[in-house]
Amino acid sequence: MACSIEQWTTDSFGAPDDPPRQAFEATRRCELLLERDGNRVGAWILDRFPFRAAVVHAQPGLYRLSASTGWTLWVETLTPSELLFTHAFPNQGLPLAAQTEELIFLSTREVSVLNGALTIRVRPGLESGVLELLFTGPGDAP
Amino acid sequence: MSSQTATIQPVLRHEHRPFHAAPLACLIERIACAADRQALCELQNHRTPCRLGNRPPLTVLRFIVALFEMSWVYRLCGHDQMVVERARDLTNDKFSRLRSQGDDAGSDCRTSYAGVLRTIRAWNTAHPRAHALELEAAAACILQRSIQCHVRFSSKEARRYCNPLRSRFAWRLSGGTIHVWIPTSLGGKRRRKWLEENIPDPDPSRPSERQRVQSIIDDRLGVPRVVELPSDSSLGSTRRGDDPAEMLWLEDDPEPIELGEVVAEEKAQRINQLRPSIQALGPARLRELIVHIFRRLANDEYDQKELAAAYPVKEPTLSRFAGKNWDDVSSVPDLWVNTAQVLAGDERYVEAAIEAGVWSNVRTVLDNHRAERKGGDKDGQRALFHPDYRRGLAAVRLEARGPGSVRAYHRPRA
Repeated sequence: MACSIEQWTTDSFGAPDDPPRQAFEATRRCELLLERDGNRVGAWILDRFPFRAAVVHAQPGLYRLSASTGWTLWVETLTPSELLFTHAFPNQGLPLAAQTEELIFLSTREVSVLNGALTIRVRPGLESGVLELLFTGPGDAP
Repeated sequence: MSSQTATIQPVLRHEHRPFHAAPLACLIERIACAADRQALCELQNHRTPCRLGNRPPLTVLRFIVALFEMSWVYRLCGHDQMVVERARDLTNDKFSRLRSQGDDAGSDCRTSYAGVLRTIRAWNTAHPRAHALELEAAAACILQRSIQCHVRFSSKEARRYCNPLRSRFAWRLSGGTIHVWIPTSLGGKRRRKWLEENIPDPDPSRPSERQRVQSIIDDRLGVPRVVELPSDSSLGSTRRGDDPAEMLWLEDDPEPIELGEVVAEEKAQRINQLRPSIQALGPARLRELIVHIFRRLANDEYDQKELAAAYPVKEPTLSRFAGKNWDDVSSVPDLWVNTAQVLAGDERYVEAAIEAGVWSNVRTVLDNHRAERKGGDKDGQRALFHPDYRRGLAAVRLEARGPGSVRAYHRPRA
Protein backbone atom coordinates (compact mmCIF):
# COMPACT_ATOMS: atom_id res chain seq x y z
CA MET A 1 0.00 0.00 0.00
CA ALA A 2 2.84 2.34 0.75
CA CYS A 3 3.96 4.48 -2.17
CA SER A 4 5.68 7.75 -2.82
CA ILE A 5 3.90 11.05 -2.31
CA GLU A 6 3.98 11.71 -6.03
CA GLN A 7 2.55 8.30 -6.93
CA TRP A 8 -0.18 8.60 -4.38
CA THR A 9 -1.33 12.03 -5.45
CA THR A 10 -1.14 11.13 -9.11
CA ASP A 11 -3.40 8.16 -8.46
CA SER A 12 -5.74 10.28 -6.40
CA PHE A 13 -6.24 13.14 -8.81
CA GLY A 14 -5.29 11.68 -12.15
CA ALA A 15 -2.09 12.45 -13.96
CA PRO A 16 -2.19 15.80 -15.74
CA ASP A 17 -1.39 15.18 -19.37
CA ASP A 18 -1.29 18.72 -20.70
CA PRO A 19 1.01 20.76 -18.50
CA PRO A 20 4.73 20.32 -18.74
CA ARG A 21 5.32 17.43 -16.40
CA GLN A 22 8.59 18.67 -15.04
CA ALA A 23 6.86 21.75 -13.70
CA PHE A 24 4.64 19.65 -11.49
CA GLU A 25 6.37 16.37 -11.00
CA ALA A 26 9.39 17.69 -9.14
CA THR A 27 10.12 15.50 -6.16
CA ARG A 28 8.62 17.02 -3.05
CA ARG A 29 11.07 16.66 -0.21
CA CYS A 30 11.06 17.77 3.39
CA GLU A 31 12.90 21.05 3.62
CA LEU A 32 13.85 23.21 6.56
CA LEU A 33 14.57 26.93 6.44
CA LEU A 34 16.25 29.00 9.14
CA GLU A 35 15.87 32.78 9.21
CA ARG A 36 17.36 35.44 11.46
CA ASP A 37 15.43 38.71 11.60
CA GLY A 38 13.67 37.73 8.40
CA ASN A 39 16.85 36.87 6.44
CA ARG A 40 17.58 33.31 5.46
CA VAL A 41 20.66 31.93 7.13
CA GLY A 42 20.25 28.26 6.29
CA ALA A 43 18.22 25.80 4.19
CA TRP A 44 18.41 22.02 4.26
CA ILE A 45 16.74 19.09 2.57
CA LEU A 46 16.08 16.26 4.98
CA ASP A 47 17.15 13.38 2.80
CA ARG A 48 18.73 11.13 5.40
CA PHE A 49 18.24 10.34 9.06
CA PRO A 50 19.50 11.13 11.54
CA PHE A 51 20.04 14.54 10.04
CA ARG A 52 22.54 16.92 11.58
CA ALA A 53 23.37 20.50 10.67
CA ALA A 54 25.15 23.38 12.37
CA VAL A 55 24.90 27.12 11.85
CA VAL A 56 28.06 28.89 12.91
CA HIS A 57 28.58 32.60 13.56
CA ALA A 58 25.10 32.88 15.04
CA GLN A 59 24.50 36.44 16.18
CA PRO A 60 21.74 37.60 18.51
CA GLY A 61 18.38 38.12 16.83
CA LEU A 62 14.95 36.63 16.16
CA TYR A 63 15.38 33.11 14.79
CA ARG A 64 12.68 31.22 12.98
CA LEU A 65 12.90 27.62 11.84
CA SER A 66 10.21 26.56 9.39
CA ALA A 67 9.30 24.00 6.80
CA SER A 68 9.47 25.23 3.20
CA THR A 69 5.68 25.34 3.19
CA GLY A 70 5.77 28.15 5.74
CA TRP A 71 4.96 26.03 8.77
CA THR A 72 6.78 27.60 11.71
CA LEU A 73 8.49 24.94 13.80
CA TRP A 74 10.40 27.17 16.15
CA VAL A 75 10.71 30.88 16.72
CA GLU A 76 12.83 32.41 19.46
CA THR A 77 14.84 35.53 20.15
CA LEU A 78 18.40 34.52 20.98
CA THR A 79 20.25 37.01 23.14
CA PRO A 80 23.95 37.51 23.89
CA SER A 81 23.46 35.59 27.12
CA GLU A 82 22.72 32.51 25.00
CA LEU A 83 25.21 33.05 22.18
CA LEU A 84 28.26 34.66 23.79
CA PHE A 85 30.40 32.72 26.20
CA THR A 86 31.28 35.67 28.42
CA HIS A 87 27.61 36.55 28.85
CA ALA A 88 26.46 32.98 29.29
CA PHE A 89 29.13 32.04 31.82
CA PRO A 90 30.26 35.31 33.42
CA ASN A 91 31.86 33.55 36.34
CA GLN A 92 34.14 31.43 34.18
CA GLY A 93 37.31 32.83 32.73
CA LEU A 94 37.89 32.82 28.99
CA PRO A 95 38.96 29.33 27.93
CA LEU A 96 42.47 28.76 26.77
CA ALA A 97 42.92 27.64 23.18
CA ALA A 98 43.58 24.10 24.34
CA GLN A 99 40.33 24.04 26.23
CA THR A 100 37.94 25.40 23.59
CA GLU A 101 37.18 22.01 22.04
CA GLU A 102 36.00 20.82 25.37
CA LEU A 103 33.96 23.92 26.09
CA ILE A 104 32.10 23.83 22.82
CA PHE A 105 29.98 21.03 24.19
CA LEU A 106 28.38 23.43 26.62
CA SER A 107 24.93 24.51 25.55
CA THR A 108 22.81 27.37 26.79
CA ARG A 109 19.56 26.31 25.26
CA GLU A 110 18.02 23.12 23.97
CA VAL A 111 14.64 23.04 22.32
CA SER A 112 12.74 19.98 21.25
CA VAL A 113 10.04 20.21 18.57
CA LEU A 114 7.90 17.81 16.55
CA ASN A 115 7.41 15.58 19.56
CA GLY A 116 11.10 15.25 20.10
CA ALA A 117 11.99 14.38 16.51
CA LEU A 118 13.86 17.66 16.03
CA THR A 119 16.24 19.14 18.57
CA ILE A 120 17.71 22.63 18.36
CA ARG A 121 20.74 23.26 20.54
CA VAL A 122 22.36 26.65 21.11
CA ARG A 123 26.05 26.79 22.04
CA PRO A 124 27.83 30.00 22.95
CA GLY A 125 31.15 31.07 21.46
CA LEU A 126 33.61 33.83 22.03
CA GLU A 127 32.24 36.23 19.39
CA SER A 128 29.20 34.34 18.09
CA GLY A 129 27.30 31.19 18.83
CA VAL A 130 26.50 27.93 17.09
CA LEU A 131 23.04 26.51 16.39
CA GLU A 132 22.84 22.77 16.02
CA LEU A 133 19.93 20.95 14.46
CA LEU A 134 19.39 17.25 14.99
CA PHE A 135 16.48 15.54 13.30
CA THR A 136 16.15 11.92 14.29
CA GLY A 137 13.01 11.22 12.29
CA PRO A 138 10.68 8.40 13.15
CA GLY A 139 13.48 5.84 13.16
CA ASP A 140 12.38 3.79 10.17
CA ALA A 141 11.75 6.70 7.88
CA PRO A 142 13.38 6.51 4.44
CA MET B 1 26.44 25.15 32.41
CA SER B 2 22.88 26.33 32.17
CA SER B 3 20.83 24.24 29.88
CA GLN B 4 17.08 24.32 29.42
CA THR B 5 14.79 21.89 27.69
CA ALA B 6 11.51 23.08 26.27
CA THR B 7 8.88 21.58 24.06
CA ILE B 8 7.19 23.89 21.60
CA GLN B 9 3.53 23.07 21.48
CA PRO B 10 1.65 23.78 18.30
CA VAL B 11 0.34 26.82 19.98
CA LEU B 12 0.80 30.26 19.30
CA ARG B 13 3.22 32.86 20.08
CA HIS B 14 1.95 35.44 17.61
CA GLU B 15 -1.41 36.76 18.61
CA HIS B 16 -2.05 38.16 15.18
CA ARG B 17 -1.29 34.78 13.58
CA PRO B 18 -2.99 32.25 15.78
CA PHE B 19 -2.22 29.39 13.38
CA HIS B 20 1.39 30.19 12.57
CA ALA B 21 2.58 26.98 14.18
CA ALA B 22 -0.12 24.73 12.74
CA PRO B 23 0.87 22.27 10.03
CA LEU B 24 -0.77 22.45 6.63
CA ALA B 25 -3.05 19.48 7.26
CA CYS B 26 -4.30 21.11 10.44
CA LEU B 27 -5.06 24.36 8.63
CA ILE B 28 -6.92 22.54 5.88
CA GLU B 29 -8.91 20.66 8.47
CA ARG B 30 -9.85 23.89 10.25
CA ILE B 31 -11.00 25.43 6.98
CA ALA B 32 -12.92 22.40 5.73
CA CYS B 33 -14.56 21.43 9.01
CA ALA B 34 -14.92 24.69 10.90
CA ALA B 35 -14.92 27.35 8.15
CA ASP B 36 -12.15 29.04 10.12
CA ARG B 37 -11.30 32.33 8.46
CA GLN B 38 -8.12 32.79 10.46
CA ALA B 39 -6.88 29.43 9.27
CA LEU B 40 -7.75 30.40 5.72
CA CYS B 41 -5.94 33.71 6.15
CA GLU B 42 -2.86 31.91 7.48
CA LEU B 43 -2.89 29.51 4.53
CA GLN B 44 -3.45 32.22 1.95
CA ASN B 45 -1.00 34.78 3.23
CA HIS B 46 1.76 32.95 5.05
CA ARG B 47 2.04 29.46 3.59
CA THR B 48 3.87 28.50 0.43
CA PRO B 49 2.78 24.94 -0.33
CA CYS B 50 3.10 25.13 -4.12
CA ARG B 51 6.04 24.62 -6.43
CA LEU B 52 6.45 25.39 -10.10
CA GLY B 53 9.66 24.10 -11.59
CA ASN B 54 12.66 25.67 -9.93
CA ARG B 55 10.85 28.76 -8.76
CA PRO B 56 10.72 29.56 -5.05
CA PRO B 57 7.73 28.13 -3.19
CA LEU B 58 4.48 29.91 -3.99
CA THR B 59 1.34 30.73 -2.06
CA VAL B 60 -1.88 29.20 -3.30
CA LEU B 61 -3.03 32.40 -4.97
CA ARG B 62 0.32 33.11 -6.60
CA PHE B 63 0.39 29.56 -7.87
CA ILE B 64 -3.04 29.98 -9.44
CA VAL B 65 -1.92 33.21 -11.10
CA ALA B 66 1.24 31.50 -12.36
CA LEU B 67 -0.76 28.59 -13.79
CA PHE B 68 -3.03 30.96 -15.66
CA GLU B 69 -0.02 32.51 -17.35
CA MET B 70 0.95 29.17 -18.85
CA SER B 71 0.19 28.26 -22.43
CA TRP B 72 -1.56 24.97 -21.64
CA VAL B 73 -4.17 26.85 -19.61
CA TYR B 74 -4.70 29.26 -22.51
CA ARG B 75 -5.24 26.24 -24.71
CA LEU B 76 -7.72 24.83 -22.21
CA CYS B 77 -9.54 28.15 -22.32
CA GLY B 78 -9.67 28.25 -26.10
CA HIS B 79 -7.16 31.13 -26.22
CA ASP B 80 -9.92 33.45 -25.06
CA GLN B 81 -8.76 36.04 -22.54
CA MET B 82 -12.25 36.45 -21.16
CA VAL B 83 -12.51 32.71 -20.50
CA VAL B 84 -9.05 32.71 -18.91
CA GLU B 85 -10.00 35.50 -16.56
CA ARG B 86 -13.23 33.86 -15.56
CA ALA B 87 -11.55 30.49 -15.04
CA ARG B 88 -8.92 32.17 -12.84
CA ASP B 89 -11.61 33.87 -10.76
CA LEU B 90 -13.47 30.60 -10.38
CA THR B 91 -10.33 28.79 -9.27
CA ASN B 92 -9.44 31.56 -6.84
CA ASP B 93 -12.90 31.32 -5.34
CA LYS B 94 -12.58 27.57 -4.95
CA PHE B 95 -9.54 28.06 -2.73
CA SER B 96 -10.22 31.37 -1.04
CA ARG B 97 -13.92 32.07 -0.77
CA LEU B 98 -15.74 31.04 2.37
CA ARG B 99 -19.45 31.41 1.84
CA SER B 100 -21.16 33.23 4.65
CA GLN B 101 -24.54 32.29 6.05
CA GLY B 102 -27.39 33.02 3.73
CA ASP B 103 -25.07 33.26 0.77
CA ASP B 104 -25.93 30.32 -1.45
CA ALA B 105 -24.34 31.50 -4.66
CA GLY B 106 -20.89 30.73 -5.99
CA SER B 107 -18.09 28.50 -4.83
CA ASP B 108 -17.25 27.62 -1.28
CA CYS B 109 -13.64 26.74 -0.62
CA ARG B 110 -14.66 24.32 2.12
CA THR B 111 -15.71 21.89 -0.57
CA SER B 112 -12.30 21.99 -2.26
CA TYR B 113 -10.40 21.75 1.01
CA ALA B 114 -12.62 18.88 2.18
CA GLY B 115 -11.50 16.90 -0.87
CA VAL B 116 -7.89 17.71 -0.18
CA LEU B 117 -8.31 16.72 3.46
CA ARG B 118 -9.79 13.35 2.53
CA THR B 119 -6.78 12.59 0.37
CA ILE B 120 -4.33 13.74 3.03
CA ARG B 121 -6.01 11.48 5.57
CA ALA B 122 -5.92 8.58 3.16
CA TRP B 123 -2.22 9.18 2.54
CA ASN B 124 -1.58 9.34 6.26
CA THR B 125 -3.43 6.09 6.79
CA ALA B 126 -1.34 4.44 4.11
CA HIS B 127 1.86 5.84 5.65
CA PRO B 128 1.41 5.45 9.39
CA ARG B 129 5.15 5.77 10.08
CA ALA B 130 5.59 9.02 8.15
CA HIS B 131 6.89 11.82 10.36
CA ALA B 132 5.36 15.26 10.58
CA LEU B 133 7.56 16.86 7.94
CA GLU B 134 6.80 14.08 5.46
CA LEU B 135 3.11 14.57 6.09
CA GLU B 136 3.59 18.31 5.56
CA ALA B 137 5.31 17.70 2.22
CA ALA B 138 2.60 15.24 1.19
CA ALA B 139 -0.15 17.66 2.16
CA ALA B 140 1.49 20.41 0.11
CA CYS B 141 1.79 18.10 -2.87
CA ILE B 142 -1.82 16.96 -2.58
CA LEU B 143 -3.05 20.54 -2.30
CA GLN B 144 -1.08 21.53 -5.38
CA ARG B 145 -2.52 18.65 -7.39
CA SER B 146 -5.98 19.61 -6.31
CA ILE B 147 -5.43 23.17 -7.52
CA GLN B 148 -4.23 21.86 -10.88
CA CYS B 149 -7.35 19.74 -11.21
CA HIS B 150 -9.58 22.67 -10.34
CA VAL B 151 -7.84 24.83 -12.93
CA ARG B 152 -8.91 22.26 -15.48
CA PHE B 153 -12.47 22.11 -14.18
CA SER B 154 -12.74 25.90 -13.96
CA SER B 155 -11.48 26.31 -17.51
CA LYS B 156 -14.21 24.00 -18.79
CA GLU B 157 -16.81 25.74 -16.67
CA ALA B 158 -15.68 29.16 -17.87
CA ARG B 159 -15.85 28.06 -21.49
CA ARG B 160 -19.40 26.94 -20.99
CA TYR B 161 -20.32 30.17 -19.26
CA CYS B 162 -18.58 32.44 -21.73
CA ASN B 163 -20.26 30.99 -24.79
CA PRO B 164 -23.93 31.67 -24.21
CA LEU B 165 -24.66 30.82 -27.82
CA ARG B 166 -24.37 27.08 -27.15
CA SER B 167 -25.66 24.86 -24.41
CA ARG B 168 -25.23 21.23 -23.46
CA PHE B 169 -27.93 18.74 -24.28
CA ALA B 170 -28.27 15.21 -22.98
CA TRP B 171 -29.64 13.08 -25.80
CA ARG B 172 -31.12 10.06 -24.10
CA LEU B 173 -31.24 6.95 -26.22
CA SER B 174 -32.16 3.39 -25.44
CA GLY B 175 -28.53 2.35 -25.08
CA GLY B 176 -27.39 5.36 -23.00
CA THR B 177 -26.97 9.12 -23.17
CA ILE B 178 -24.88 11.26 -25.50
CA HIS B 179 -23.98 14.75 -24.29
CA VAL B 180 -23.59 17.25 -27.11
CA TRP B 181 -23.36 21.00 -27.61
CA ILE B 182 -26.18 22.61 -29.56
CA PRO B 183 -26.72 26.26 -30.50
CA THR B 184 -29.21 27.90 -28.21
CA SER B 185 -31.12 29.07 -31.26
CA LEU B 186 -32.37 25.50 -31.50
CA GLY B 187 -34.22 25.14 -28.26
CA GLY B 188 -36.51 22.90 -26.30
CA LYS B 189 -38.07 19.85 -27.86
CA ARG B 190 -36.80 20.84 -31.29
CA ARG B 191 -33.38 19.62 -30.28
CA ARG B 192 -34.35 16.00 -29.87
CA LYS B 193 -36.38 16.11 -33.06
CA TRP B 194 -33.54 17.69 -34.98
CA LEU B 195 -31.08 15.10 -33.71
CA GLU B 196 -33.42 12.23 -34.60
CA GLU B 197 -33.81 13.61 -38.10
CA ASN B 198 -30.19 14.45 -38.75
CA ILE B 199 -28.03 11.94 -36.90
CA PRO B 200 -28.06 8.56 -38.59
CA ASP B 201 -27.72 5.42 -36.50
CA PRO B 202 -26.76 6.86 -33.10
CA ASP B 203 -25.16 4.34 -30.76
CA PRO B 204 -23.95 5.57 -27.34
CA SER B 205 -21.82 2.44 -26.90
CA ARG B 206 -19.83 3.06 -30.07
CA PRO B 207 -16.34 4.48 -29.47
CA SER B 208 -16.06 8.21 -30.24
CA GLU B 209 -19.80 8.40 -30.90
CA ARG B 210 -20.10 11.71 -29.09
CA GLN B 211 -17.45 13.26 -31.32
CA ARG B 212 -19.16 11.92 -34.43
CA VAL B 213 -22.53 13.32 -33.42
CA GLN B 214 -20.99 16.63 -32.39
CA SER B 215 -19.19 17.03 -35.68
CA ILE B 216 -22.45 16.49 -37.59
CA ILE B 217 -24.15 19.11 -35.42
CA ASP B 218 -21.30 21.56 -35.94
CA ASP B 219 -21.30 21.00 -39.67
CA ARG B 220 -25.03 21.50 -40.08
CA LEU B 221 -25.83 24.11 -37.43
CA GLY B 222 -22.52 25.90 -37.25
CA VAL B 223 -20.57 26.80 -34.13
CA PRO B 224 -21.68 30.19 -32.88
CA ARG B 225 -18.87 31.90 -31.06
CA VAL B 226 -18.16 35.24 -29.51
CA VAL B 227 -15.12 36.82 -31.10
CA GLU B 228 -13.14 39.57 -29.42
CA LEU B 229 -11.81 42.47 -31.41
CA PRO B 230 -9.12 44.93 -30.55
CA SER B 231 -10.21 47.73 -28.30
CA ASP B 232 -11.28 50.95 -29.87
CA SER B 233 -11.96 53.89 -27.61
CA SER B 234 -14.19 55.49 -30.20
CA LEU B 235 -16.56 52.55 -29.81
CA GLY B 236 -16.66 52.67 -26.05
CA SER B 237 -19.53 55.09 -25.77
CA THR B 238 -22.20 52.44 -25.77
CA ARG B 239 -20.89 50.63 -22.74
CA ARG B 240 -22.89 47.61 -21.77
CA GLY B 241 -22.99 45.41 -18.72
CA ASP B 242 -20.45 42.73 -17.98
CA ASP B 243 -22.83 39.84 -18.26
CA PRO B 244 -21.74 37.69 -21.23
CA ALA B 245 -25.37 36.84 -21.79
CA GLU B 246 -25.68 40.35 -23.17
CA MET B 247 -23.60 39.25 -26.11
CA LEU B 248 -26.58 37.31 -27.39
CA TRP B 249 -28.21 38.83 -30.37
CA LEU B 250 -30.97 41.02 -29.05
CA GLU B 251 -33.69 41.81 -31.48
CA ASP B 252 -34.71 44.83 -29.48
CA ASP B 253 -31.17 46.11 -29.21
CA PRO B 254 -31.70 49.81 -29.95
CA GLU B 255 -28.30 50.72 -31.36
CA PRO B 256 -25.71 48.00 -31.64
CA ILE B 257 -22.37 49.17 -32.95
CA GLU B 258 -21.94 47.68 -36.37
CA LEU B 259 -19.08 46.68 -38.52
CA GLY B 260 -20.17 49.65 -40.57
CA GLU B 261 -18.92 52.01 -37.89
CA VAL B 262 -15.45 50.57 -38.12
CA VAL B 263 -15.52 50.82 -41.90
CA ALA B 264 -16.90 54.36 -41.63
CA GLU B 265 -14.07 55.38 -39.37
CA GLU B 266 -11.54 53.84 -41.71
CA LYS B 267 -13.01 55.55 -44.77
CA ALA B 268 -13.29 58.89 -43.01
CA GLN B 269 -9.59 58.75 -42.23
CA ARG B 270 -8.76 58.01 -45.87
CA ILE B 271 -11.34 60.24 -47.47
CA ASN B 272 -8.81 61.68 -49.88
CA GLN B 273 -8.63 58.29 -51.65
CA LEU B 274 -12.36 58.28 -52.48
CA ARG B 275 -14.24 59.61 -55.47
CA PRO B 276 -14.30 63.47 -55.53
CA SER B 277 -18.06 63.61 -55.15
CA ILE B 278 -17.83 61.47 -52.00
CA GLN B 279 -14.87 63.48 -50.71
CA ALA B 280 -17.06 66.55 -50.93
CA LEU B 281 -19.16 65.22 -48.07
CA GLY B 282 -16.36 65.70 -45.57
CA PRO B 283 -15.20 63.10 -43.00
CA ALA B 284 -18.01 63.56 -40.46
CA ARG B 285 -20.81 63.42 -43.02
CA LEU B 286 -19.18 60.47 -44.78
CA ARG B 287 -18.94 58.58 -41.51
CA GLU B 288 -22.60 59.25 -40.88
CA LEU B 289 -23.56 58.11 -44.38
CA ILE B 290 -21.73 54.80 -44.13
CA VAL B 291 -23.17 53.97 -40.73
CA HIS B 292 -26.58 54.86 -42.07
CA ILE B 293 -26.14 52.54 -45.06
CA PHE B 294 -25.14 49.61 -42.87
CA ARG B 295 -28.04 50.10 -40.51
CA ARG B 296 -30.53 50.40 -43.31
CA LEU B 297 -29.15 47.24 -44.89
CA ALA B 298 -29.42 45.32 -41.65
CA ASN B 299 -33.09 46.24 -41.45
CA ASP B 300 -33.76 45.73 -45.17
CA GLU B 301 -34.64 49.42 -45.42
CA TYR B 302 -31.92 50.56 -47.75
CA ASP B 303 -33.33 53.08 -50.17
CA GLN B 304 -30.68 54.63 -52.41
CA LYS B 305 -32.86 57.47 -53.64
CA GLU B 306 -33.76 58.54 -50.15
CA LEU B 307 -30.18 58.43 -48.93
CA ALA B 308 -28.87 60.23 -51.99
CA ALA B 309 -31.33 63.02 -51.35
CA ALA B 310 -30.56 63.18 -47.64
CA TYR B 311 -26.82 63.67 -47.78
CA PRO B 312 -26.84 64.82 -50.65
CA VAL B 313 -24.98 62.93 -53.33
CA LYS B 314 -26.03 62.07 -56.81
CA GLU B 315 -27.76 58.74 -57.05
CA PRO B 316 -25.33 57.25 -59.61
CA THR B 317 -22.47 58.31 -57.35
CA LEU B 318 -24.06 56.58 -54.38
CA SER B 319 -24.73 53.54 -56.56
CA ARG B 320 -21.05 53.28 -57.45
CA PHE B 321 -20.05 53.92 -53.89
CA ALA B 322 -22.53 51.64 -52.11
CA GLY B 323 -24.89 50.23 -54.68
CA LYS B 324 -27.66 47.98 -53.46
CA ASN B 325 -28.27 45.97 -56.62
CA TRP B 326 -24.95 44.31 -56.95
CA ASP B 327 -25.93 41.91 -59.68
CA ASP B 328 -26.67 44.82 -61.97
CA VAL B 329 -23.52 46.84 -61.62
CA SER B 330 -20.48 46.22 -63.69
CA SER B 331 -18.08 46.54 -60.82
CA VAL B 332 -18.21 46.05 -57.09
CA PRO B 333 -19.31 49.16 -55.20
CA ASP B 334 -16.39 50.74 -53.41
CA LEU B 335 -17.86 50.39 -49.95
CA TRP B 336 -18.21 46.62 -50.17
CA VAL B 337 -14.68 46.22 -51.43
CA ASN B 338 -13.50 48.40 -48.56
CA THR B 339 -15.54 46.38 -46.10
CA ALA B 340 -14.06 43.17 -47.40
CA GLN B 341 -10.59 44.64 -46.99
CA VAL B 342 -11.34 45.64 -43.41
CA LEU B 343 -12.63 42.15 -42.67
CA ALA B 344 -9.65 40.45 -44.23
CA GLY B 345 -7.24 42.69 -42.38
CA ASP B 346 -7.79 41.11 -39.00
CA GLU B 347 -8.09 37.43 -38.24
CA ARG B 348 -10.74 38.10 -35.62
CA TYR B 349 -12.88 39.83 -38.21
CA VAL B 350 -12.23 36.88 -40.48
CA GLU B 351 -13.50 34.58 -37.77
CA ALA B 352 -16.65 36.65 -37.40
CA ALA B 353 -17.15 36.63 -41.16
CA ILE B 354 -16.76 32.85 -41.25
CA GLU B 355 -19.32 32.51 -38.50
CA ALA B 356 -21.67 34.79 -40.42
CA GLY B 357 -21.23 32.58 -43.49
CA VAL B 358 -19.94 35.39 -45.69
CA TRP B 359 -16.24 34.67 -45.73
CA SER B 360 -16.27 32.98 -49.13
CA ASN B 361 -17.98 36.06 -50.55
CA VAL B 362 -15.41 38.30 -48.92
CA ARG B 363 -12.63 36.24 -50.47
CA THR B 364 -14.30 36.45 -53.86
CA VAL B 365 -14.66 40.21 -53.58
CA LEU B 366 -11.02 40.60 -52.72
CA ASP B 367 -9.80 38.18 -55.39
CA ASN B 368 -11.84 39.89 -58.07
CA HIS B 369 -10.86 43.30 -56.92
CA ARG B 370 -7.23 42.34 -57.31
CA ALA B 371 -7.97 40.75 -60.68
CA GLU B 372 -9.81 43.86 -61.78
CA ARG B 373 -6.89 46.04 -60.90
CA LYS B 374 -4.81 43.77 -63.10
CA GLY B 375 -7.43 43.81 -65.89
CA GLY B 376 -9.39 40.69 -64.90
CA ASP B 377 -12.71 39.21 -65.96
CA LYS B 378 -15.64 41.46 -64.96
CA ASP B 379 -18.34 39.08 -66.14
CA GLY B 380 -17.15 36.38 -63.80
CA GLN B 381 -16.94 38.91 -61.00
CA ARG B 382 -20.50 40.12 -61.58
CA ALA B 383 -21.96 36.69 -61.29
CA LEU B 384 -20.44 36.12 -57.90
CA PHE B 385 -22.40 38.71 -55.99
CA HIS B 386 -25.49 37.93 -54.13
CA PRO B 387 -27.70 39.88 -51.73
CA ASP B 388 -26.85 37.36 -49.01
CA TYR B 389 -23.39 38.85 -48.95
CA ARG B 390 -24.53 42.26 -47.80
CA ARG B 391 -26.96 40.76 -45.31
CA GLY B 392 -24.17 38.63 -43.94
CA LEU B 393 -21.91 41.62 -43.57
CA ALA B 394 -24.61 43.58 -41.88
CA ALA B 395 -24.99 40.72 -39.42
CA VAL B 396 -21.39 41.04 -38.35
CA ARG B 397 -21.72 43.46 -35.52
CA LEU B 398 -19.48 45.00 -33.00
CA GLU B 399 -20.44 45.54 -29.47
CA ALA B 400 -18.57 47.83 -27.13
CA ARG B 401 -18.00 46.28 -23.74
CA GLY B 402 -16.42 49.08 -21.83
CA PRO B 403 -13.74 51.47 -22.94
CA GLY B 404 -11.11 48.78 -23.43
CA SER B 405 -13.06 46.03 -25.06
CA VAL B 406 -14.98 45.59 -28.27
CA ARG B 407 -16.59 42.40 -29.47
CA ALA B 408 -17.75 41.18 -32.83
CA TYR B 409 -20.45 38.64 -33.11
CA HIS B 410 -22.91 37.40 -35.63
CA ARG B 411 -26.51 36.42 -35.65
CA PRO B 412 -26.69 32.69 -34.87
CA ARG B 413 -28.21 30.76 -37.67
CA ALA B 414 -31.57 29.24 -36.81
